[in-house]
Amino acid sequence: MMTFKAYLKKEFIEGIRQYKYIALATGIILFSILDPVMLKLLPSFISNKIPANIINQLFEFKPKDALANYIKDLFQIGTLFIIFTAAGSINEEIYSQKIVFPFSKGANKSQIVLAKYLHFEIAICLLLLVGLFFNQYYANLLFEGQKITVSDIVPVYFLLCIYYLFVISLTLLLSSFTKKNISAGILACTASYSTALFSQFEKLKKFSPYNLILLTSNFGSQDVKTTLVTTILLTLIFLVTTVFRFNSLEVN
Amino acid sequence: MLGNMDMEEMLKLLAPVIVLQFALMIFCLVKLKNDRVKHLPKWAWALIIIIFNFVGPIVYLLLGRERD
Repeated sequence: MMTFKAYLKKEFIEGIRQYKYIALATGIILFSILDPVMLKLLPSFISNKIPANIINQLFEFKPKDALANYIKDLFQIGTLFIIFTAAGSINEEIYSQKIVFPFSKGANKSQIVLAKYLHFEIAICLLLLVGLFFNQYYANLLFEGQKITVSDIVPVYFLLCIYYLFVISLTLLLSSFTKKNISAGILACTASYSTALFSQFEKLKKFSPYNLILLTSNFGSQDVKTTLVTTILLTLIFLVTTVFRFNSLEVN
Repeated sequence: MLGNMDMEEMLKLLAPVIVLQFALMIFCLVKLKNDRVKHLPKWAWALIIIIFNFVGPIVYLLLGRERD
């Protein structure tokens, strides 16, 4: 237990020193402000090219449209920031030989992996909460129509957290198989984005973690059980595999 | 309503994003001056930080710095 606490603390300190939180905050919070503003300004930008009556019909956004747009951008671009921040977590420890000292002191390898995972999850869950509230504020301020309430945000937040639990476990697993963090990042991005491809097939859709993103952007909770169970199971499998892989790696 | 939006109102809306971008850019340029870099020379990193809004500074922080 001492290893876990000590390593978790070390991860938080390293997160600050390596500016990981700045990267995560940019990826998650930036679009929460930028999206509603750009959505609001979009008709002004193209007002010279399209007649006003068509603009009003085409761009009649409501607060929930702004939230849906934020969730979509979070998946498309925010995921990149998250993956590349976490991509070097395991391989850098091994190949930069930083891990030798804790190992020589008898540190528990499983707890080291869990500490890394938990550290990212705490940071992402907190930043997602801030991002969603910023987006709610801006969307309600800028657009007319039914306002976004806290009860709208709670299921969205819950599903997004579960999705990013999956993404981080996948990234850590791939990080344990690669020597460079760029390779781990590219592999994790490919795997994450291909979950969206699975969602194109109706029969596979509910088994794809990306379905959580679809459900959040539609504000629906229908048929969420299968997707939730599949995503949590995949997350656990990836975590256990990462621990096994970490245990089997030779540290010089 | 949108048609009446003038430049000042647009700037007010975009102010938080502009402030964030400038803060991040200046922070990274100051860091770049003192850091040891990898993959690219310092002038190339400076260009990336200045040209690519938000993404440039983050790419530098994550991939461009030589770790201690």
